[in-house]
Order: sequence, then C-alpha cells, then structure tokens
Amino acid sequence: MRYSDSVYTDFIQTCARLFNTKAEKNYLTIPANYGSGYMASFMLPEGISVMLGDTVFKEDLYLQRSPSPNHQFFILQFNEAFVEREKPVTGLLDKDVQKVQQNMVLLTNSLIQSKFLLPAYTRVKTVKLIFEKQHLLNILRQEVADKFMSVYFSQMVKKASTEAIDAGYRVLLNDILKVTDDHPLRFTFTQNRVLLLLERFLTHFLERLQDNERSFKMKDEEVSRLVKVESLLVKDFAVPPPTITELSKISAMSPTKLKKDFKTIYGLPLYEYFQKNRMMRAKDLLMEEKYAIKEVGMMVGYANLGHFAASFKKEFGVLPSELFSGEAK
Amino acid sequence: MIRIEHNLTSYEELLKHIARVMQLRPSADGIVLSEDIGTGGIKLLKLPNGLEMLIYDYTAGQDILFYKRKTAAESFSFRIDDITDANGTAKSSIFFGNTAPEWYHIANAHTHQKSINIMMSKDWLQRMLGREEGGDMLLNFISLKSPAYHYEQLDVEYRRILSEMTDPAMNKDFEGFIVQNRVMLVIERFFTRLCKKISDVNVNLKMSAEEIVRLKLVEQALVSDFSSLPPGINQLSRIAAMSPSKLKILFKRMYGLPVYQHFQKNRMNKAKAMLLSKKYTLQQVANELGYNNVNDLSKTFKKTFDQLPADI
Repeated sequence: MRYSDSVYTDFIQTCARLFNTKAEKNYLTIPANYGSGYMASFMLPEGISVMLGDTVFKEDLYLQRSPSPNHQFFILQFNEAFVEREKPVTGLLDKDVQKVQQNMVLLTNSLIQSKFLLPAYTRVKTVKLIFEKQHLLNILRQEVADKFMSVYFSQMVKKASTEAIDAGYRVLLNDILKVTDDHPLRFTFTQNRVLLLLERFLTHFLERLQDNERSFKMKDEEVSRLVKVESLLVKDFAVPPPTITELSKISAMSPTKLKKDFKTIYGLPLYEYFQKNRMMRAKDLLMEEKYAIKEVGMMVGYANLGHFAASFKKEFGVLPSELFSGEAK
Repeated sequence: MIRIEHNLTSYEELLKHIARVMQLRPSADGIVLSEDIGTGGIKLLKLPNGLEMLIYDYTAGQDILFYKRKTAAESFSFRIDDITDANGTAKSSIFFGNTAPEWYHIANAHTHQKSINIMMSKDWLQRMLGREEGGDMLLNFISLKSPAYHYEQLDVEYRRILSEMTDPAMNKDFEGFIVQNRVMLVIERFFTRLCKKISDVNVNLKMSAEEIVRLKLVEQALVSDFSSLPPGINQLSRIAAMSPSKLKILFKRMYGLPVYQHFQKNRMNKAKAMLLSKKYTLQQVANELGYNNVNDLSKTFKKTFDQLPADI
C-alpha cells in the first residue's frame, strides 16, 4: 500500500478503500477476511492529527509513504507488537524497511520516504501523531525546539531507532487504546494522554542526551534483543518473572552485559524495572475501581495480601487501601 | 491584617493588584512577599492552551484577607488548596465553581498556604465540554447548581499530579507544557468524577429533568431575599408543583440540607461576606438579613462560624 496523506482522517479513508470497506466517523473496523481490530483517527484542537490502531492482519502489510516535498511535517509513532504466530516474511524487502515489532518510538519527517512492514498474525498497537514545527513552538521555546530537531535527526540518520517503549509509555498507550465510548470525557482523556506521550518523548530524549550518550552507541540489533527481554519481563505478572540466566540466553548476551545494557535503555536494573511495572499495573487495576484489593494482588502475582500492600506502599508511599482515602499522611 | 479586595477575573490583573496592595514590585511572572507579610510568593503562569494560573506558595506573616466582590462576567475557576496551620494540621481540597458570586478566603498568620488557581472563561469551558459525550450533562449541572461550589478532597492521585506540577526538579525548558498537561489531567479527573457522581445521584433520586428545574426555582425563591421571612413550605410546594413531603425529601437529596437549613446556611454566608467587606455595620447586616435585633444575629453567627461578628 502506497500513500502520501498528511492527515490521518485521509489515511483511514485510503485504508478503507484498500480493504474494500467504508470508514464511518473516522473509525475503521478491519474486515474479517483481512484480519481483525480497528483503526481510528481524530484531530486535536491544536491541529495535531492522531491515529490509533489495534490490529492483527492475516497478510503482511507493507506501507510506503511517499515524501511530500512541499509540505513539511513530522510523524511521531509509538508501536507495540505482539507476535501471535511466527511466520517468515514473504518476498524480499528493502533494507530500509522499518519493522514495527521493534517496540520503539519513532519520529520521522515528511521529506523522507518511509517504509513499514506490519507482519501477518502480529497484534500491533499503535498511536501516531502528525504535527508541524509550529506545534512544537507553541509548547517549547524556539531554541529548545531547534536543538531537539537538529540533534534528533542527526541521531536518526546514524541509527534507525532511539527510544524504546518502556513501562511509562505502555501505561499511556494502553489507556488511550482501552478507553471506550461510555467515558464521559473521552476526547479530553485521549488528548491528555497523547500530549503526555509527546511530553515524555521530548523530555526523555533531551535528558538522555545530557546524561549519557551510551544508549545512542548501542547497536540496533542489540537494542531489539533488549526490547524482547523487556517484553518477556512484563508479559504476565501472575507468574514469576524469567530468571537472569533465561533472559541472558534469550538475548544472547552475558548476564553482566544484559544487566548493564538493560539499565542503560530502560533506566532501572532488570528486577527493579519488573517490580515497578508490576506495581504500576496494580495501581492501574485499582484505579479502574472494579476489583477488590485482594483480587488485584492476585492478578499481579501476590498470594499474600500483606506483602502486596507493603510493596505497594514502598512504590507509591501509600497503602492500596489509602489510594482513594483523601487525607494521606 | 492585609485586605485584598477586587472583582477581577484576570489573574494577570489580580497579581498586579495584589502587588499594589502589598506595596511590592511584581516581576514578569510573580511576586515575592516581603518579610512583614510572609515568606514565599505568588507565581503567574500562562499556559499554551489559553488558561491562566496563579500558584500561591507562602507562609503568612499576618492575616491576609482575600475578598472578591460579585462580578458580572462569568468565568470559572479551579482552586486546589493545601493549607497547613502552625500545628501541622492540613486542610486540602479541590474546588470548582463560577467566579460570579462573592468569595472570601482568610490566610491566617503562620499558616502555610499552598494553592493552585486555574481560571477559565465560560467559552473555554464550553469548548472543552462541548465535544464530550458527558458534556451536556455537566454543563447543565454546572449552571443548575451555580453559584455553589463543587469540591472534592485531595486524594493520592490528585496529590501525585500536584507534586509533579510543582516539582522543583522539573526541566524548565518544558515548564509550560508539563504544567499544562498536569492541569488538564486535574480538570479531566475532576469532571470525570463529577459526572459519575451526578449519574449516581440521578439514579438514586429517580428525579425527572422537569423536577430538577422546579427544585431549582424553589431554591432561588428561598435564597433570593433574606430581608423578609422566607416563603412557607406550602408556598414552596406550589412553586415546585409537588406535595410538601415530596418537596422536602427531594430538596434534601439535591442540595444536601433540609429546606430551611439550606436557607439559614446561605443567610449566614451572606452575613459573613457583608461583614468582611467592611462596608456595613452590624445593624445594617441584621436589617438586610431580616433580624430584628443584632443579638439574635450574633448568636446565630456564633453558632454557625464559632466566632462573633465583632471578631471579624
């Protein structure tokens, strides 16, 4: 599929034509013969175009966006992929094709052609934004925006990817994709989280730039193995996490290198990262106000409610029971 | 005591006004209090999305009275207060309401006042809620219950958002953006929870929209004029087109207090506001509020606020 749309509402229509179906209210349900899931798009009041998707396709989908030389804009995308069935990619691919299973944050520019592969039988959750430089200038001072753009794109040219999807991104992505029609403030809810994604991306990139340059020096292939490690680590909290030995085999790295590089990318040691994610998941579940504290404890792998409460307090400074109690001391 | 009296709905103007009253020189984004007034300051932020914000963070050196007179222009404001007195007892809450009615706040000496105020125009609010599924219900509810304030206690989640908003380690390059995102989270959370509360109430009340409108008329008749006796329950029941017993039950569910307690509470609030304005004598206040003698007023006042009118 080739396209050159600069607004996602147009892109959805292009997709609808490809699948021989119609997209109403900028919402496209993937027809059963092509796969399952949905794509949706909308416009933020600031003029930022947003697309959401949670899809599984039955065939490899190859996307190619032609460059738009007359209209410069930026595309920021957050992708997370879950392989449901391993299957070799059919046909030959150009070297510069981005694979979405990288679980990466990616910023590209409309002047560059971009090629994407969505492999068959892979669940892809995605949030994409199209914005113009003016949007950055609304929220950042000129010199900060300029610095960001120049540094980012010079890194980008050297290496395809610069930022991995970590726990913080994942919470926001899931919130955005999970929200349903019956949320009374759905639009504001989505908008807020989209802007938080942008904030996180911008602040992270510039902070890391100041703190250390190490992560930029890592090989792309190593990064993708670490991404795999991360996804296994946070896959299911109800069962004990994989051991370092197991993870080190999967990543084909020595335990020492694994630990060091993991920390460089995700900011925390392996099991601290695991624990933090587990607690964030627990808090998320509690905030839904659907489950009892005990149930949540079980869902994140605690058999003992006391241990759960203590770990929760260690992470957030309050007991699970105090989460809604108002006056916390 | 320092008195700051105004009828402004622009925080930029208000900050200038405060600086004038306190005889301080404002910088571009705020004022720093002088020693005799307190330690700390007030900061002004204009967010990219058009909202104005004042962040108060100071320990008062003496009592400071903020008194806002009635305004014609309708704006809405959020106040997130976190006030700690000298003994370390904290009072924290989040308010949302129309800025039209008069309003006062006393920052007692030696209390730590941390407060985030967010001002939004009626247009802004309507634009934001207008595109939401639950927006109509909220807008109706807000105009219906005006001028009453809606409030919530600050729970852990609000506190977390708040501490991120005022984090001194924040990357200053992104300050406007970071603060704006947190402000929007607070607004989103407040309205989402308000929506839930309203639907719960409506389900419990099993009240029709028509009945709600008529109860609103009753409430207006009750609090519009304090100088003469309030309308009797029979008269109110005619306005509401329901039996007195039904009226009493529904009124209490909707406004949280029995009919005449609600009347009395509003009457005393008005008394306090009048006294604080320092424009009326106690006798005038008593006349205005339908008391035959000043003593009755003083007694009721003491019962409500635990202080005598003379102590104000």
